[in-house]
Amino acid sequence: MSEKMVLMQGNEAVAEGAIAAGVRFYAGYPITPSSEVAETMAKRMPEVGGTFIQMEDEIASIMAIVGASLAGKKVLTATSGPGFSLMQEGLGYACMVEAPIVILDSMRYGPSTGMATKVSQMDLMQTRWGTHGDHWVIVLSPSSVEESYQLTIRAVNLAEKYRNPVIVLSDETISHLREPIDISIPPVLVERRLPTAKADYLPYRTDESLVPTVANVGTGFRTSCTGLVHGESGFQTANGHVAEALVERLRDKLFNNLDDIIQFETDRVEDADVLFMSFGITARGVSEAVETLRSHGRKAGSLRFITLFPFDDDRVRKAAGNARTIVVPELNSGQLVLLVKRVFGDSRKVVPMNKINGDLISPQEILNFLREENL
Amino acid sequence: MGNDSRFELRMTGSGGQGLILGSIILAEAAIMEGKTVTQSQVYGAEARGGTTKAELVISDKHIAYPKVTDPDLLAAMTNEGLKQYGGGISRKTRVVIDSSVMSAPDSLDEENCRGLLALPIRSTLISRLESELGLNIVLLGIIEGLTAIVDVETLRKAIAMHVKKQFLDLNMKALDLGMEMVEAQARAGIRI
Repeated sequence: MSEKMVLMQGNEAVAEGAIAAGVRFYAGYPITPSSEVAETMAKRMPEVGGTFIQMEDEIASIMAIVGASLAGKKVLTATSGPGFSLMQEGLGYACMVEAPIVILDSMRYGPSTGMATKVSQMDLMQTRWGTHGDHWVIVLSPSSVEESYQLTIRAVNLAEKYRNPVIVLSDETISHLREPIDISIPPVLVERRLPTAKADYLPYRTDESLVPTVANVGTGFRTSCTGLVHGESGFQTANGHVAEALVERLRDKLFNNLDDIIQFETDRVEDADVLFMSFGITARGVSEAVETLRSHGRKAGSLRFITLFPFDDDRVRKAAGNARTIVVPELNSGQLVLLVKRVFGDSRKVVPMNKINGDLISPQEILNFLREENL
Repeated sequence: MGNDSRFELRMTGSGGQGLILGSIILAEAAIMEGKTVTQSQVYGAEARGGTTKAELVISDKHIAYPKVTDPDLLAAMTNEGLKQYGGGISRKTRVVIDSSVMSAPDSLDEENCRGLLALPIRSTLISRLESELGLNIVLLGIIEGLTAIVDVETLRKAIAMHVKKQFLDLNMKALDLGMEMVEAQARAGIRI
Protein backbone atom coordinates (compact mmCIF):
# COMPACT_ATOMS: atom_id res chain seq x y z
CA MET A 1 0.00 0.00 0.00
CA SER A 2 2.92 2.33 0.62
CA GLU A 3 3.47 3.85 -2.83
CA LYS A 4 0.13 5.55 -3.29
CA MET A 5 -0.61 6.27 0.33
CA VAL A 6 -0.33 9.82 1.57
CA LEU A 7 -0.66 11.00 5.16
CA MET A 8 -3.51 13.44 5.31
CA GLN A 9 -5.56 15.22 7.91
CA GLY A 10 -9.36 14.81 7.88
CA ASN A 11 -9.94 18.43 6.91
CA GLU A 12 -7.40 18.27 4.10
CA ALA A 13 -9.13 15.12 2.86
CA VAL A 14 -12.45 16.98 2.69
CA ALA A 15 -10.82 19.75 0.66
CA GLU A 16 -9.03 17.33 -1.68
CA GLY A 17 -12.18 15.21 -2.03
CA ALA A 18 -14.14 18.30 -3.00
CA ILE A 19 -11.52 19.27 -5.58
CA ALA A 20 -11.49 15.72 -6.99
CA ALA A 21 -15.28 15.91 -7.24
CA GLY A 22 -15.05 19.10 -9.30
CA VAL A 23 -15.64 21.78 -6.67
CA ARG A 24 -14.27 25.05 -8.01
CA PHE A 25 -15.87 27.57 -5.67
CA TYR A 26 -15.34 27.83 -1.93
CA ALA A 27 -16.68 30.57 0.28
CA GLY A 28 -16.31 30.34 4.02
CA TYR A 29 -15.52 31.87 7.36
CA PRO A 30 -12.85 29.95 9.27
CA ILE A 31 -13.83 28.31 12.54
CA THR A 32 -12.19 25.65 14.67
CA PRO A 33 -12.22 22.71 14.05
CA SER A 34 -12.94 23.19 10.34
CA SER A 35 -10.39 25.91 9.52
CA GLU A 36 -7.92 23.68 7.67
CA VAL A 37 -10.55 23.14 4.99
CA ALA A 38 -10.53 26.89 4.28
CA GLU A 39 -6.74 26.96 4.58
CA THR A 40 -6.35 24.13 2.07
CA MET A 41 -8.94 25.57 -0.31
CA ALA A 42 -7.32 29.03 -0.16
CA LYS A 43 -4.13 27.44 -1.44
CA ARG A 44 -5.65 24.92 -3.83
CA MET A 45 -8.50 26.83 -5.52
CA PRO A 46 -6.17 29.16 -7.47
CA GLU A 47 -4.09 26.13 -8.49
CA VAL A 48 -7.08 24.40 -10.10
CA GLY A 49 -8.65 27.50 -11.62
CA GLY A 50 -11.26 27.85 -8.90
CA THR A 51 -12.34 30.68 -6.63
CA PHE A 52 -11.78 31.05 -2.90
CA ILE A 53 -13.49 33.81 -0.97
CA GLN A 54 -13.22 34.45 2.73
CA MET A 55 -16.58 35.96 3.58
CA GLU A 56 -17.51 38.28 6.42
CA ASP A 57 -19.53 35.60 8.21
CA GLU A 58 -21.28 32.27 7.77
CA ILE A 59 -24.56 33.72 6.47
CA ALA A 60 -22.66 35.39 3.65
CA SER A 61 -20.65 32.20 3.13
CA ILE A 62 -23.63 29.97 2.49
CA MET A 63 -25.38 32.57 0.34
CA ALA A 64 -22.20 32.92 -1.73
CA ILE A 65 -22.06 29.20 -2.43
CA VAL A 66 -25.77 29.11 -3.25
CA GLY A 67 -25.19 31.90 -5.77
CA ALA A 68 -22.14 30.24 -7.28
CA SER A 69 -24.02 26.95 -7.45
CA LEU A 70 -26.91 28.56 -9.32
CA ALA A 71 -24.31 29.95 -11.71
CA GLY A 72 -23.18 26.39 -12.40
CA LYS A 73 -20.25 25.79 -10.08
CA LYS A 74 -19.79 22.82 -7.80
CA VAL A 75 -19.41 24.39 -4.37
CA LEU A 76 -18.32 23.78 -0.78
CA THR A 77 -18.29 25.61 2.51
CA ALA A 78 -17.02 24.34 5.85
CA THR A 79 -17.94 25.31 9.37
CA SER A 80 -18.63 24.11 12.90
CA GLY A 81 -21.68 24.35 15.19
CA PRO A 82 -21.67 28.11 15.85
CA GLY A 83 -21.24 28.89 12.16
CA PHE A 84 -23.65 26.14 11.13
CA SER A 85 -26.30 27.85 13.27
CA LEU A 86 -25.84 31.02 11.23
CA MET A 87 -26.05 29.04 8.00
CA GLN A 88 -29.49 27.62 8.72
CA GLU A 89 -31.33 30.40 6.91
CA GLY A 90 -29.30 29.84 3.77
CA LEU A 91 -29.66 26.08 4.09
CA GLY A 92 -33.44 26.37 3.96
CA TYR A 93 -33.17 28.71 0.99
CA ALA A 94 -30.91 26.23 -0.82
CA CYS A 95 -33.47 23.46 -0.18
CA MET A 96 -36.23 25.64 -1.60
CA VAL A 97 -34.43 26.90 -4.73
CA GLU A 98 -32.88 23.43 -5.16
CA ALA A 99 -29.29 24.63 -5.27
CA PRO A 100 -26.73 21.81 -5.15
CA ILE A 101 -24.45 22.75 -2.25
CA VAL A 102 -22.17 20.84 0.11
CA ILE A 103 -21.52 21.92 3.70
CA LEU A 104 -18.95 20.37 6.00
CA ASP A 105 -19.99 20.66 9.65
CA SER A 106 -17.14 19.58 11.89
CA MET A 107 -18.78 19.11 15.25
CA ARG A 108 -17.27 20.68 18.34
CA TYR A 109 -18.67 20.88 21.82
CA GLY A 110 -21.79 23.03 22.26
CA PRO A 111 -24.14 24.71 22.79
CA SER A 112 -23.11 28.17 21.63
CA THR A 113 -19.35 28.56 21.27
CA GLY A 114 -18.97 25.68 23.76
CA MET A 115 -15.46 24.24 23.64
CA ALA A 116 -13.83 25.04 20.32
CA THR A 117 -11.19 22.31 20.45
CA LYS A 118 -13.24 19.48 21.96
CA VAL A 119 -15.12 16.82 20.07
CA SER A 120 -18.86 16.17 20.21
CA GLN A 121 -21.67 14.71 18.13
CA MET A 122 -24.14 17.32 19.31
CA ASP A 123 -25.16 18.71 15.88
CA LEU A 124 -26.87 15.56 14.59
CA MET A 125 -30.41 16.87 14.93
CA GLN A 126 -29.33 20.34 13.85
CA THR A 127 -28.36 18.95 10.45
CA ARG A 128 -31.89 17.59 10.09
CA TRP A 129 -34.04 20.22 11.81
CA GLY A 130 -31.83 23.29 12.09
CA THR A 131 -33.67 25.28 9.47
CA HIS A 132 -37.38 25.90 9.68
CA GLY A 133 -40.17 24.38 7.65
CA ASP A 134 -40.63 20.92 6.22
CA HIS A 135 -37.47 20.23 4.29
CA TRP A 136 -35.13 17.36 3.49
CA VAL A 137 -31.37 17.19 3.41
CA ILE A 138 -28.85 14.44 2.86
CA VAL A 139 -26.39 13.97 5.73
CA LEU A 140 -23.29 11.79 5.37
CA SER A 141 -21.07 10.78 8.26
CA PRO A 142 -17.40 9.89 7.77
CA SER A 143 -15.56 7.92 10.44
CA SER A 144 -12.05 8.14 9.01
CA VAL A 145 -9.79 10.36 6.93
CA GLU A 146 -10.25 8.05 3.93
CA GLU A 147 -14.00 8.31 4.27
CA SER A 148 -13.79 12.09 4.68
CA TYR A 149 -12.32 12.11 1.19
CA GLN A 150 -14.71 9.58 -0.33
CA LEU A 151 -17.88 10.92 1.25
CA THR A 152 -17.09 14.49 0.23
CA ILE A 153 -16.91 13.25 -3.37
CA ARG A 154 -20.17 11.41 -2.84
CA ALA A 155 -21.73 14.50 -1.26
CA VAL A 156 -20.89 16.63 -4.30
CA ASN A 157 -22.29 13.96 -6.63
CA LEU A 158 -25.53 13.55 -4.65
CA ALA A 159 -25.97 17.33 -4.43
CA GLU A 160 -25.69 17.64 -8.20
CA LYS A 161 -27.85 14.61 -8.93
CA TYR A 162 -30.76 15.61 -6.69
CA ARG A 163 -30.23 19.38 -6.68
CA ASN A 164 -30.24 19.36 -2.91
CA PRO A 165 -28.01 20.47 -0.02
CA VAL A 166 -25.77 17.69 1.30
CA ILE A 167 -24.10 17.97 4.69
CA VAL A 168 -20.92 16.11 5.53
CA LEU A 169 -21.14 15.71 9.30
CA SER A 170 -17.64 15.27 10.67
CA ASP A 171 -16.18 16.09 14.07
CA GLU A 172 -13.13 17.62 15.72
CA THR A 173 -11.32 14.29 16.03
CA ILE A 174 -11.71 13.18 12.42
CA SER A 175 -11.04 16.72 11.20
CA HIS A 176 -7.65 16.74 12.91
CA LEU A 177 -6.74 13.06 12.67
CA ARG A 178 -4.01 12.09 10.23
CA GLU A 179 -4.22 8.75 8.42
CA PRO A 180 -2.75 7.35 5.22
CA ILE A 181 -5.16 7.48 2.29
CA ASP A 182 -5.08 6.61 -1.38
CA ILE A 183 -6.26 9.44 -3.60
CA SER A 184 -4.76 8.12 -6.82
CA ILE A 185 -7.98 6.76 -8.33
CA PRO A 186 -9.98 9.46 -10.12
CA PRO A 187 -13.59 9.41 -8.93
CA VAL A 188 -16.71 8.99 -11.03
CA LEU A 189 -18.33 12.40 -11.29
CA VAL A 190 -22.01 13.27 -11.56
CA GLU A 191 -23.08 16.40 -13.43
CA ARG A 192 -26.39 18.15 -12.88
CA ARG A 193 -28.94 17.85 -15.68
CA LEU A 194 -29.53 21.05 -17.59
CA PRO A 195 -32.35 22.20 -19.90
CA THR A 196 -31.86 21.45 -23.56
CA ALA A 197 -34.31 23.82 -25.26
CA LYS A 198 -35.27 27.40 -24.52
CA ALA A 199 -38.73 26.92 -25.98
CA ASP A 200 -41.28 26.30 -23.23
CA TYR A 201 -38.52 26.42 -20.59
CA LEU A 202 -39.84 26.33 -17.06
CA PRO A 203 -37.04 26.12 -14.47
CA TYR A 204 -38.93 24.00 -11.94
CA ARG A 205 -40.74 21.66 -14.30
CA THR A 206 -39.71 18.07 -13.64
CA ASP A 207 -40.00 14.67 -15.24
CA GLU A 208 -40.48 11.42 -13.29
CA SER A 209 -37.12 11.99 -11.53
CA LEU A 210 -38.79 14.92 -9.74
CA VAL A 211 -35.48 16.79 -10.07
CA PRO A 212 -35.85 20.05 -12.01
CA THR A 213 -33.49 21.10 -14.78
CA VAL A 214 -32.86 24.67 -13.65
CA ALA A 215 -30.60 26.48 -16.10
CA ASN A 216 -27.34 27.86 -14.79
CA VAL A 217 -27.51 31.63 -14.39
CA GLY A 218 -26.04 33.43 -17.35
CA THR A 219 -26.67 30.76 -19.95
CA GLY A 220 -29.48 32.61 -21.70
CA PHE A 221 -32.47 31.13 -19.93
CA ARG A 222 -35.03 33.18 -18.04
CA THR A 223 -34.93 31.76 -14.52
CA SER A 224 -36.50 33.02 -11.31
CA CYS A 225 -35.32 31.63 -7.96
CA THR A 226 -37.12 32.43 -4.75
CA GLY A 227 -37.47 31.09 -1.23
CA LEU A 228 -41.17 31.77 -1.52
CA VAL A 229 -43.40 28.93 -2.63
CA HIS A 230 -43.22 28.78 -6.39
CA GLY A 231 -44.67 26.82 -9.26
CA GLU A 232 -42.85 25.45 -12.28
CA SER A 233 -42.20 28.99 -13.52
CA GLY A 234 -40.17 29.78 -10.42
CA PHE A 235 -42.40 32.71 -9.55
CA GLN A 236 -44.08 33.01 -6.20
CA THR A 237 -47.56 31.88 -5.42
CA ALA A 238 -49.71 31.47 -2.32
CA ASN A 239 -51.71 28.67 -3.94
CA GLY A 240 -52.04 25.88 -1.39
CA HIS A 241 -52.14 23.13 -3.99
CA VAL A 242 -48.93 24.35 -5.58
CA ALA A 243 -47.33 24.63 -2.14
CA GLU A 244 -48.33 21.09 -1.20
CA ALA A 245 -47.08 19.67 -4.49
CA LEU A 246 -43.76 21.52 -4.13
CA VAL A 247 -43.03 20.36 -0.58
CA GLU A 248 -44.08 16.80 -1.45
CA ARG A 249 -41.79 16.83 -4.45
CA LEU A 250 -38.85 18.11 -2.38
CA ARG A 251 -39.37 15.06 -0.16
CA ASP A 252 -40.10 12.52 -2.87
CA LYS A 253 -37.14 13.40 -5.09
CA LEU A 254 -35.00 11.96 -2.28
CA PHE A 255 -37.35 9.35 -0.82
CA ASN A 256 -37.96 7.74 -4.23
CA ASN A 257 -34.21 7.08 -4.36
CA LEU A 258 -33.34 5.77 -0.91
CA ASP A 259 -31.47 2.78 -2.37
CA ASP A 260 -29.15 5.21 -4.07
CA ILE A 261 -28.72 7.49 -1.06
CA ILE A 262 -28.70 5.33 2.08
CA GLN A 263 -25.59 3.45 3.13
CA PHE A 264 -24.83 1.51 6.31
CA GLU A 265 -21.82 -0.50 7.33
CA THR A 266 -22.67 -3.62 9.27
CA ASP A 267 -20.37 -5.97 11.15
CA ARG A 268 -21.56 -9.39 12.32
CA VAL A 269 -25.16 -8.30 12.74
CA GLU A 270 -26.62 -11.69 11.74
CA ASP A 271 -26.09 -13.59 14.97
CA ALA A 272 -25.52 -10.63 17.31
CA ASP A 273 -27.37 -10.56 20.62
CA VAL A 274 -26.03 -7.11 21.41
CA LEU A 275 -25.88 -4.62 18.56
CA PHE A 276 -24.25 -1.21 18.62
CA MET A 277 -25.70 1.56 16.46
CA SER A 278 -23.39 4.52 16.02
CA PHE A 279 -21.96 7.01 13.56
CA GLY A 280 -18.76 8.94 12.91
CA ILE A 281 -15.80 8.72 15.23
CA THR A 282 -17.76 6.81 17.89
CA ALA A 283 -18.08 3.86 15.51
CA ARG A 284 -14.31 3.33 15.67
CA GLY A 285 -14.38 2.67 19.39
CA VAL A 286 -17.37 0.40 18.77
CA SER A 287 -15.50 -1.50 16.09
CA GLU A 288 -12.67 -2.35 18.46
CA ALA A 289 -15.08 -3.19 21.29
CA VAL A 290 -16.98 -5.61 19.02
CA GLU A 291 -13.69 -7.29 18.10
CA THR A 292 -12.79 -7.74 21.77
CA LEU A 293 -16.27 -8.96 22.73
CA ARG A 294 -16.22 -11.51 19.89
CA SER A 295 -12.78 -12.72 20.97
CA HIS A 296 -14.33 -13.38 24.40
CA GLY A 297 -17.20 -15.30 22.85
CA ARG A 298 -19.81 -12.54 23.16
CA LYS A 299 -22.03 -12.19 20.10
CA ALA A 300 -21.68 -8.48 19.46
CA GLY A 301 -22.34 -6.63 16.22
CA SER A 302 -22.30 -3.14 14.81
CA LEU A 303 -24.39 -1.03 12.50
CA ARG A 304 -22.72 2.22 11.49
CA PHE A 305 -24.74 4.91 9.77
CA ILE A 306 -22.82 6.29 6.79
CA THR A 307 -25.95 8.09 5.60
CA LEU A 308 -27.67 9.62 8.62
CA PHE A 309 -30.46 11.39 6.72
CA PRO A 310 -32.71 10.52 5.02
CA PHE A 311 -33.31 8.07 7.88
CA ASP A 312 -35.50 5.19 6.77
CA ASP A 313 -37.02 3.15 9.59
CA ASP A 314 -37.70 0.07 7.43
CA ARG A 315 -34.17 -0.12 6.16
CA VAL A 316 -32.75 0.25 9.66
CA ARG A 317 -35.10 -2.46 10.96
CA LYS A 318 -34.05 -4.84 8.19
CA ALA A 319 -30.34 -4.14 8.65
CA ALA A 320 -30.47 -4.59 12.41
CA GLY A 321 -30.84 -8.37 12.56
CA ASN A 322 -32.43 -9.88 15.67
CA ALA A 323 -30.29 -8.55 18.49
CA ARG A 324 -32.33 -8.31 21.68
CA THR A 325 -30.32 -5.37 22.93
CA ILE A 326 -29.32 -2.31 20.94
CA VAL A 327 -26.78 0.06 22.48
CA VAL A 328 -26.49 3.55 21.01
CA PRO A 329 -23.21 5.23 22.02
CA GLU A 330 -22.92 8.88 21.02
CA LEU A 331 -21.12 12.05 22.11
CA ASN A 332 -24.26 13.95 23.10
CA SER A 333 -27.12 13.54 25.55
CA GLY A 334 -29.10 11.26 23.24
CA GLN A 335 -29.95 12.21 19.66
CA LEU A 336 -29.42 9.16 17.43
CA VAL A 337 -31.09 7.07 20.12
CA LEU A 338 -34.36 8.98 19.54
CA LEU A 339 -34.44 7.68 15.98
CA VAL A 340 -33.46 4.15 16.99
CA LYS A 341 -36.23 4.12 19.60
CA ARG A 342 -38.66 5.33 16.96
CA VAL A 343 -37.71 2.35 14.78
CA PHE A 344 -37.95 -0.35 17.44
CA GLY A 345 -40.48 0.96 19.94
CA ASP A 346 -40.65 -1.59 22.76
CA SER A 347 -39.75 -4.55 20.54
CA ARG A 348 -36.07 -4.37 21.53
CA LYS A 349 -34.18 -3.08 24.50
CA VAL A 350 -32.68 0.19 23.23
CA VAL A 351 -30.02 1.57 25.59
CA PRO A 352 -28.47 5.02 25.24
CA MET A 353 -24.80 5.46 26.08
CA ASN A 354 -23.80 9.10 26.23
CA LYS A 355 -20.61 10.99 26.91
CA ILE A 356 -20.55 14.77 27.07
CA ASN A 357 -17.18 15.76 28.53
CA GLY A 358 -15.42 16.54 25.26
CA ASP A 359 -13.59 13.21 25.04
CA LEU A 360 -14.20 10.16 22.88
CA ILE A 361 -15.88 6.95 23.99
CA SER A 362 -13.05 4.43 24.19
CA PRO A 363 -13.44 0.70 23.49
CA GLN A 364 -12.77 -0.04 27.16
CA GLU A 365 -15.57 2.29 28.22
CA ILE A 366 -17.97 0.39 25.98
CA LEU A 367 -16.92 -2.92 27.56
CA ASN A 368 -17.29 -1.42 31.04
CA PHE A 369 -20.72 -0.04 30.14
CA LEU A 370 -22.00 -3.47 29.09
CA ARG A 371 -20.75 -4.93 32.35
CA GLU A 372 -22.15 -2.18 34.55
CA GLU A 373 -25.53 -2.21 32.83
CA ASN A 374 -25.69 -6.03 32.78
CA LEU A 375 -26.23 -6.01 29.02
CA MET B 1 -6.74 -4.55 23.93
CA GLY B 2 -5.79 -4.62 20.26
CA ASN B 3 -3.12 -6.83 18.88
CA ASP B 4 0.58 -7.32 19.29
CA SER B 5 1.52 -5.44 16.15
CA ARG B 6 -0.04 -2.26 17.51
CA PHE B 7 2.51 0.29 18.75
CA GLU B 8 1.28 3.31 20.66
CA LEU B 9 3.41 6.41 21.18
CA ARG B 10 2.61 9.53 23.17
CA MET B 11 4.93 12.53 23.19
CA THR B 12 4.33 15.48 25.41
CA GLY B 13 6.17 18.71 26.05
CA SER B 14 6.02 22.38 25.23
CA GLY B 15 4.45 23.88 22.12
CA GLY B 16 7.22 24.75 19.65
CA GLN B 17 9.42 21.75 20.42
CA GLY B 18 8.16 20.13 17.25
CA LEU B 19 6.66 17.04 18.82
CA ILE B 20 3.66 17.06 16.48
CA LEU B 21 5.97 17.35 13.48
CA GLY B 22 8.05 14.53 14.99
CA SER B 23 4.98 12.31 15.17
CA ILE B 24 4.10 13.15 11.56
CA ILE B 25 7.63 12.29 10.39
CA LEU B 26 7.55 8.94 12.17
CA ALA B 27 4.05 8.33 10.78
CA GLU B 28 5.27 8.93 7.24
CA ALA B 29 8.25 6.64 7.73
CA ALA B 30 5.88 3.90 8.91
CA ILE B 31 3.63 4.43 5.87
CA MET B 32 6.66 4.10 3.57
CA GLU B 33 7.21 0.68 5.10
CA GLY B 34 3.65 -0.35 4.34
CA LYS B 35 2.30 0.08 7.84
CA THR B 36 -0.85 1.90 8.76
CA VAL B 37 -0.97 4.79 11.22
CA THR B 38 -3.22 7.22 13.04
CA GLN B 39 -1.69 10.47 14.22
CA SER B 40 -3.40 13.01 16.44
CA GLN B 41 -2.59 15.86 18.74
CA VAL B 42 -4.03 18.09 21.37
CA TYR B 43 -5.48 20.96 19.45
CA GLY B 44 -5.77 24.54 20.56
CA ALA B 45 -3.95 27.54 21.90
CA GLU B 46 -1.98 25.20 24.20
CA ALA B 47 -0.07 23.97 21.17
CA ARG B 48 1.52 27.38 20.74
CA GLY B 49 3.74 27.73 23.78
CA GLY B 50 1.72 25.79 26.31
CA THR B 51 1.73 22.12 27.08
CA THR B 52 1.25 19.93 24.05
CA LYS B 53 0.72 16.29 23.19
CA ALA B 54 1.20 14.27 20.02
CA GLU B 55 0.00 10.71 19.61
CA LEU B 56 0.81 8.06 17.06
CA VAL B 57 -0.50 4.54 16.59
CA ILE B 58 1.42 2.26 14.19
CA SER B 59 0.14 -1.15 13.16
CA ASP B 60 0.44 -3.81 10.48
CA LYS B 61 -3.34 -4.05 10.48
CA HIS B 62 -6.32 -1.73 10.20
CA ILE B 63 -6.50 0.61 13.19
CA ALA B 64 -10.03 0.89 14.54
CA TYR B 65 -9.79 3.13 17.58
CA PRO B 66 -7.38 5.86 16.51
CA LYS B 67 -6.23 7.24 19.86
CA VAL B 68 -3.58 6.02 22.27
CA THR B 69 -5.15 4.08 25.15
CA ASP B 70 -2.23 2.02 26.46
CA PRO B 71 1.05 3.57 25.33
CA ASP B 72 4.09 1.45 24.58
CA LEU B 73 6.19 4.55 24.89
CA LEU B 74 5.60 7.85 26.66
CA ALA B 75 8.12 10.61 26.04
CA ALA B 76 7.83 13.67 28.28
CA MET B 77 9.97 16.67 27.34
CA THR B 78 8.69 18.90 30.14
CA ASN B 79 7.52 18.34 33.68
CA GLU B 80 4.21 20.01 32.89
CA GLY B 81 3.73 17.65 29.95
CA LEU B 82 4.27 14.62 32.15
CA LYS B 83 1.84 15.99 34.74
CA GLN B 84 -0.88 16.76 32.23
CA TYR B 85 -0.58 13.83 29.84
CA GLY B 86 1.40 11.25 31.80
CA GLY B 87 -1.67 9.36 32.95
CA GLY B 88 -2.88 6.12 31.44
CA ILE B 89 0.48 4.36 31.46
CA SER B 90 0.81 0.71 32.36
CA ARG B 91 3.51 -1.90 32.96
CA LYS B 92 3.97 -2.13 29.21
CA THR B 93 4.89 1.57 28.97
CA ARG B 94 8.46 2.70 28.59
CA VAL B 95 8.83 6.26 29.83
CA VAL B 96 11.48 8.64 28.48
CA ILE B 97 12.03 11.99 30.18
CA ASP B 98 14.40 14.87 29.52
CA SER B 99 16.43 14.93 32.72
CA SER B 100 18.04 18.24 31.76
CA VAL B 101 14.77 20.08 32.37
CA MET B 102 13.01 17.84 34.88
CA SER B 103 13.79 15.34 37.58
CA ALA B 104 12.56 11.79 37.49
CA PRO B 105 9.23 11.63 39.27
CA ASP B 106 9.02 9.33 42.27
CA SER B 107 5.68 8.08 41.03
CA LEU B 108 7.28 6.08 38.22
CA ASP B 109 8.84 2.77 39.21
CA GLU B 110 8.92 -0.86 38.15
CA GLU B 111 5.46 -1.38 39.57
CA ASN B 112 3.69 0.97 37.24
CA CYS B 113 5.78 1.17 34.08
CA ARG B 114 8.15 -0.98 32.05
CA GLY B 115 11.07 1.30 32.66
CA LEU B 116 12.10 4.89 33.06
CA LEU B 117 14.83 6.31 30.87
CA ALA B 118 15.99 9.72 32.09
CA LEU B 119 18.26 11.32 29.48
CA PRO B 120 19.65 14.86 29.40
CA ILE B 121 18.19 15.47 25.96
CA ARG B 122 18.08 19.24 25.71
CA SER B 123 21.46 19.87 27.37
CA THR B 124 23.17 17.22 25.23
CA LEU B 125 21.65 18.71 22.08
CA ILE B 126 22.99 22.14 23.03
CA SER B 127 26.46 20.93 24.02
CA ARG B 128 26.99 18.50 21.13
CA LEU B 129 25.27 20.22 18.23
CA GLU B 130 25.28 23.81 19.52
CA SER B 131 21.60 24.01 18.68
CA GLU B 132 18.38 24.48 20.51
CA LEU B 133 16.46 23.24 17.48
CA GLY B 134 16.13 19.59 16.70
CA LEU B 135 14.94 18.30 20.06
CA ASN B 136 12.09 16.49 18.32
CA ILE B 137 14.54 14.73 16.01
CA VAL B 138 16.84 13.73 18.88
CA LEU B 139 13.74 12.25 20.48
CA LEU B 140 12.93 10.37 17.26
CA GLY B 141 16.48 8.98 17.43
CA ILE B 142 15.85 7.85 21.00
CA ILE B 143 12.54 6.23 20.03
CA GLU B 144 14.22 4.54 17.08
CA GLY B 145 17.08 3.38 19.33
CA LEU B 146 14.62 1.89 21.78
CA THR B 147 12.14 0.30 19.40
CA ALA B 148 13.59 0.05 15.86
CA ILE B 149 9.99 0.63 14.86
CA VAL B 150 11.07 1.55 11.31
CA ASP B 151 14.30 1.19 9.35
CA VAL B 152 16.68 4.05 10.17
CA GLU B 153 17.12 4.87 6.50
CA THR B 154 13.36 5.19 6.07
CA LEU B 155 13.31 7.56 8.99
CA ARG B 156 16.05 9.64 7.39
CA LYS B 157 13.99 9.84 4.21
CA ALA B 158 10.92 10.96 6.12
CA ILE B 159 12.94 13.62 7.96
CA ALA B 160 14.32 14.90 4.66
CA MET B 161 10.75 15.35 3.40
CA HIS B 162 10.08 17.89 6.15
CA VAL B 163 13.38 19.67 6.69
CA LYS B 164 14.84 22.55 4.70
CA LYS B 165 18.08 21.65 2.93
CA GLN B 166 20.26 23.92 5.05
CA PHE B 167 19.08 22.17 8.21
CA LEU B 168 19.24 18.62 6.88
CA ASP B 169 22.73 17.91 8.19
CA LEU B 170 21.86 19.21 11.65
CA ASN B 171 18.75 17.04 11.76
CA MET B 172 20.58 13.91 10.66
CA LYS B 173 23.13 14.55 13.40
CA ALA B 174 20.28 15.06 15.85
CA LEU B 175 18.83 11.68 14.86
CA ASP B 176 22.23 10.01 15.31
CA LEU B 177 22.64 11.74 18.66
CA GLY B 178 19.36 10.30 19.92
CA MET B 179 20.29 6.79 18.86
CA GLU B 180 23.75 7.20 20.43
CA MET B 181 22.23 8.24 23.73
CA VAL B 182 20.24 5.01 23.84
CA GLU B 183 23.27 2.92 22.86
CA ALA B 184 25.34 4.57 25.58
CA GLN B 185 22.71 3.63 28.15
CA ALA B 186 22.67 0.05 26.90
CA ARG B 187 26.47 -0.15 27.04
CA ALA B 188 26.42 1.15 30.59
CA GLY B 189 24.27 -1.83 31.45
CA ILE B 190 21.26 0.24 32.33
CA ARG B 191 18.14 -1.75 31.76
CA ILE B 192 16.02 -0.02 29.17
